[in-house]
Amino acid sequence: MRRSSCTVGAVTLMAWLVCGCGPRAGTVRVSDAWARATPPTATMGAVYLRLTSGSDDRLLGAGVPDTVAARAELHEVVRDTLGRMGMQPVDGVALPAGRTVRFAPGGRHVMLVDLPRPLSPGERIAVRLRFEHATPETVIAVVRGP
Amino acid sequence: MRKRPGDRNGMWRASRLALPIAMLLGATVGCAPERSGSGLRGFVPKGHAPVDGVSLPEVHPGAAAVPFRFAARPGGLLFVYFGYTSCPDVCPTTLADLRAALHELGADAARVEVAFVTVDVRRDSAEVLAPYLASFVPGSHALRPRNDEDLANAERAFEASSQVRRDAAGKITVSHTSIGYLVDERGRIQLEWSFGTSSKDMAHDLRVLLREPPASRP
Repeated sequence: MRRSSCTVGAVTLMAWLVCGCGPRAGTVRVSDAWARATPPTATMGAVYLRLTSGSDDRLLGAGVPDTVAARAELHEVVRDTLGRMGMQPVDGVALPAGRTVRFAPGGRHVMLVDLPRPLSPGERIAVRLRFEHATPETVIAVVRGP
Repeated sequence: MRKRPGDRNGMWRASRLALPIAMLLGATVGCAPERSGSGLRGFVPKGHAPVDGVSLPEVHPGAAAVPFRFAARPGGLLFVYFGYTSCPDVCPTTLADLRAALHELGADAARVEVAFVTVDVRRDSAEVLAPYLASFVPGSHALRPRNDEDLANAERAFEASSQVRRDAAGKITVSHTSIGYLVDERGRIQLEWSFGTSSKDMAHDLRVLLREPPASRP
């Protein structure tokens, strides 16, 4: 009996410690922001990242400096009935409390439209994210590529 | 469940379950997609007509286009993909994964050629297309159809398709079959990789296909 109550206590403590590390309500944690280096003649780029919101929220849009792209838009890859892949803009992305929402290749991305110059490996891009409730956040996406 | 000595009923019950469970496992394993006897991770198409009767102009900036036929060099493989350079995600991801796979192959990478057909002829001029591809795989064949009919013929040969739409505001959206095709020296499609095939799986399949001379494959 004593052993099982200690176990329950230890598990509860651990759970509390783990849960205590989540983002606070009203804030969004953004991590693993990266972009692929672009070919010399490419006009479009993509930023990928992970978002975890402490409370129910919505990512409304993104912005990048003019030196990086003319504008940034939220897009998702879609498949049509013939299995062809394309993409379409999304009007915001839901961020349910405590869930990690991933922007990854083949899924959602922050599209960088009209690049004035290629994105180079190692370059750091400031991406400003706007939310419905949380205050805007600027994250640094690191450009990856050989 | 504690065993009771002499509990023949318990053992009988267990063995009665064993056969249906074994059958279920067998059916599950058997129902797993049979890629190929060689353990290829891509999809082996069956009954596909050879594509070596099709050719498209290979473009080089500042030089005349040269017809390129869809067949690999003897003993080699040809990777074919339909895409466009304004593609921010799907095409660069596939080409980057292919580049990583070729890197893993080492010396054998020289036996693999890459051909990319633009489905966005209006925006992808030779000056845009060739450097784009070269940045992923130097020596790639940049193929630019002369017109929509040329493109449709080539797509039909691969059972691929694409659509380029322009809305009233002039915004262009493109959708395209995003399969990577591996063609052998006789113009037969040996393998198809759907989008998302990892570079590791690509390298694995390339090694298998290069080890066994494609000409000897059915």
